[in-house]
Amino acid sequence: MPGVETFVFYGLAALIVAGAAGVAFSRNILHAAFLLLLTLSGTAGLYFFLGADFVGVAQILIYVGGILVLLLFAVLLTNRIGDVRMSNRNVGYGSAIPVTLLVAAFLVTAMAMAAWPHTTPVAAPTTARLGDAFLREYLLPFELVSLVLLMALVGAMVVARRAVRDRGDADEGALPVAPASSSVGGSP
Amino acid sequence: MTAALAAAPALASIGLGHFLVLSAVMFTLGLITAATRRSAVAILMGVELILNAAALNFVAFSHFSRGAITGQVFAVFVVVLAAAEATVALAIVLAVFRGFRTVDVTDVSTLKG
Amino acid sequence: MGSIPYSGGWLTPPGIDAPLVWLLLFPLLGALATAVLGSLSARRFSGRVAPALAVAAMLATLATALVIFFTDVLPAGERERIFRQPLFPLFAMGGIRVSFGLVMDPLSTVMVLLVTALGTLIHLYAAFYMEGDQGRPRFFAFLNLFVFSMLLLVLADGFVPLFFGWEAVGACSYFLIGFWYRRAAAADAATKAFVVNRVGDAALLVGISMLLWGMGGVEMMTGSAAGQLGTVLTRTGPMVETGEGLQPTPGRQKVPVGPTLDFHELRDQLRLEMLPRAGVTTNPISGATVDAAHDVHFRPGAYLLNRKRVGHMPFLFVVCALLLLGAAGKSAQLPLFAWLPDAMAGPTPVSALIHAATLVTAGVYLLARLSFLFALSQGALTLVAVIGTLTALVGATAALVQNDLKRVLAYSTVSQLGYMFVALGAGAAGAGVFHVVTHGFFKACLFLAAGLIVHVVAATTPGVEERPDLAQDLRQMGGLAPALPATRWAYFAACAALAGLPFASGFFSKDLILTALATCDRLSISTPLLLAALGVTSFLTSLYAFRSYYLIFFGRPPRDRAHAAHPAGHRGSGEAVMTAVVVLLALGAIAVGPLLGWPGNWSGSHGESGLLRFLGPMFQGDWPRRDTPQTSAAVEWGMQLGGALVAFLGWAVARALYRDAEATAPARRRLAERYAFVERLFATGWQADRAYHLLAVAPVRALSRAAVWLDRALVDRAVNAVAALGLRLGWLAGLFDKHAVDGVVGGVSEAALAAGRRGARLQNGRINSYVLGIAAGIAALVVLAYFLGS
Repeated sequence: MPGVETFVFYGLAALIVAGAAGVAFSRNILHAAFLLLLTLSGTAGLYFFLGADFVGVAQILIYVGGILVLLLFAVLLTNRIGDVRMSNRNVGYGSAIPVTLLVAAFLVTAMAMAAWPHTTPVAAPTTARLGDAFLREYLLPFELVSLVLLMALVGAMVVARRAVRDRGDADEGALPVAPASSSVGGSP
Repeated sequence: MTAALAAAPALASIGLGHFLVLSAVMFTLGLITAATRRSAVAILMGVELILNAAALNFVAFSHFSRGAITGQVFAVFVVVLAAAEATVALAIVLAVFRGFRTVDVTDVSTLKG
Repeated sequence: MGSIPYSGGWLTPPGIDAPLVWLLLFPLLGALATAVLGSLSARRFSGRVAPALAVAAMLATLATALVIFFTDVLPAGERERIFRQPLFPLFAMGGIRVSFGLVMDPLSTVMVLLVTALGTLIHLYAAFYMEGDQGRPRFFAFLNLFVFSMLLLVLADGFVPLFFGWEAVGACSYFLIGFWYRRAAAADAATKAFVVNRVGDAALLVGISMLLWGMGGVEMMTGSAAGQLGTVLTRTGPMVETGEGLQPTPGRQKVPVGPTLDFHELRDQLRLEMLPRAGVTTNPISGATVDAAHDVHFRPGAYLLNRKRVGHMPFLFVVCALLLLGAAGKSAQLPLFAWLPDAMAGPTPVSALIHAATLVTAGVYLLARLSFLFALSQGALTLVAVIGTLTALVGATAALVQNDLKRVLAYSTVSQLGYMFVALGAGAAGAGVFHVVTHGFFKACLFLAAGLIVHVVAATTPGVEERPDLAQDLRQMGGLAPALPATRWAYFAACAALAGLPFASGFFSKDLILTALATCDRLSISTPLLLAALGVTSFLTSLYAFRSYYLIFFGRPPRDRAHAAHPAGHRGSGEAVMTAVVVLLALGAIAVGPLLGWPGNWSGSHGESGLLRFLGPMFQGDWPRRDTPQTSAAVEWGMQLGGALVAFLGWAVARALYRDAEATAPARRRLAERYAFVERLFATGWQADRAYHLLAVAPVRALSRAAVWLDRALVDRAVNAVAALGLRLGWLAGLFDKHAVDGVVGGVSEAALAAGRRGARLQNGRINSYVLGIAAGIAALVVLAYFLGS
């Protein structure tokens, strides 16, 4: 009799896949955005399932709370509000499908053919260990990432600010980019 | 909650392969999105899907290798960098929108190809 | 033919060198100087530089000739008057050595003096006659060049230089007849003269070649029998004429044996047959004692020539006939005479010099040179005599009915040349040459006088500009005696000489010819027949000569003539000089005869005097004398009386008919109507032109038409077919080019463009495709890595 894990896994997987499919094939871009929300949430759930609690939380906070909101802002700002039908036609299935199938094929093949180590996972909280890793082995990347975030912030502001000679533009101003908190790695 | 989950028996029937397949599926769908959608924002969504799939992979590997935490580290990095990238990308999209009045990628090209 | 008896002979002694080349250089340089300097200064001095230079060159030549004559030729002994000047060797082939050289022997001396004397006088005349003509440099240059050619011809020591001169005089004649080349008649006449001459020249060449071959030339040239060439030693020296006839001189002599183109050598070799009588000893080639009858290695020329046959005809006859044809072409004998009347289209001095005195005598000269050859063939001699007689008769009949003064004189020349040929046929080459000299004088006088007469008529007759021939029409003349007194008497004297009235020079030379014919027993045809024909000819000669005289100077002028008196403005120094020349020539026409050829029966001596004595060594020994002095004298008296009688008769008839031309006009008209056919026959030279047309021109035209048809039907078709083929191929190539090549090239460019377009679609600016590209690339890399790694 399959255990709870199986149900949980497959339920979450179904959410993820459904959401992803919706993002891929939905006609309405707003629907796609919200289905992305579903996918991201499902992924977060899988993280928790896998015992990566910090990662899961980070996922929810950053991805869902930040990126997704950003995407929604973008969607809403760049489409005419009144236009419900928000065209989202897809083009070029002819060339996309073969390549994609190919990619999928080799991915699956690789995974299937590989002999994955079959180890019994240990269920233990990982946040402490993650924090440790960040401040020990991965200190440099950690700092670099914060630098990257700074650059992204500056860059976004530069790119998005209104040009001096802009005429007849809707006054949108610089979109306030709300990055996630710079300190990802909080204190334990 | 974590402790409860942690006290559960080992996920013997859900193996690494399942996660990998799932992430492969998510990756593929994300690729389709990026490859076929007309809206730049939708393409970004697809990219997020791809990144997500990769992160999931990392975490899954981390989980199924004894005591390694590297995967989760990378997953965190992925998330953070995805955020940074999304920021910049959307800034660009907005700039493009200001110039072209549309984010339809087929319309924002001035190439003749 | 049998063996030919010789009464003796001697071999040519070696010659003495003399500066003969100056005789050629003066006229040649004169021609060059006249052409160049004359043209350059044509506008200055009224263009008189050219005539002056030409006359000067002629004077120099005449002076040289006289100097050579008086200092070299005359003082030399009778049998030593042979002066050679070898110029340069031409080529050697096997045993034959051909070289270019000059020789001055009695025959060429006479010709040289005649040509230079008459030439100088006529140049002087022409200098005034051609006054005002634009082409004087050309004219006088050619005139000088002609003198050069003629001198080369007569000074030639062999066939080669002779042929050069032969051709050159023909060319100069062409240039001078056609001097006024814008007149169609002149151009046509020049061409006709040249073409008819050509026929003769071809025969001449063939004759010379056959002669060379007949003398064993081929064997000598191929060298297989080159050893047979050599010299023969005679036991005695040359034969000389002594009181007892020809006797050999003591001493030895070498005679070269083998085919030769040299005249004197040829003559010697042909007489080697009689060497056994002169005592040939050892053949230096074989070393054996020579016995001409049996020794097969030693072949004297005559022996050779008499042995061969061409078809059924003797070889020698054929050779002589060909040479005769060549001479006939140049000397306007039957059948090649019709060019001479037409040649009158040239200026009168040209007619006087070339077509009366010099060029036309070249044929006579050739036959005189080769008289030793002709003497060996009876058939040839007969042919010569017959042709001469017939030509004389035809010429005289034609001259009788001409209305153009110059044509009368032209036909008269033809007729008189016939007389010369008769002399050669009768074996009296000396008499023939004598007649050449006398004829030169009186005919030149007649022509130059005609020039003056025509000048006057042209000045006073209306309608002359459109038809220049009108001035020469006898019917437009009449009553000119008051206008041209001196000319009239000169003309009369020349007519007397032509007719053969006693004491005029023509009388003496004609008489000699007739005597020779009468005493000749070598011909195959009856000589009385020929004599009768010549008698009739003499009558006609006198008749037409005085006809022209009376028609020109007597009677009333035609009604539309401006006035009979000579317009005052015409008299000038030019006319005086011209008249003086004419008078001088007339005096010569009277005096030359008695001076050079006083008849033997008048002086009572058996031997010949004057010219004939001078020329004697040239022909002695070729011709046997069989008659006694008594019979010869009787015949001579007979001929003289007969000739005088006939001449007077002709004069009387002419006087009766033409002195008062108007009165006798109706009678003459009736006569003309009655014998219209005869008149037409005579007037056209017995339809010679039509005969030419039928025999030569029409076949050639038909041949050329056939050739044209052939060309059009076959050649043109072939060429057009090839061209069409080419066009087709070109069209095919074009097709290929358009579709295949252009297709390929275009296709390549199209493909490139298409590829470019397709390739450009990569850069479509759509992110989707870029993403796909990345994905595809990664996939490919992975697959590749997998396959490479596995």
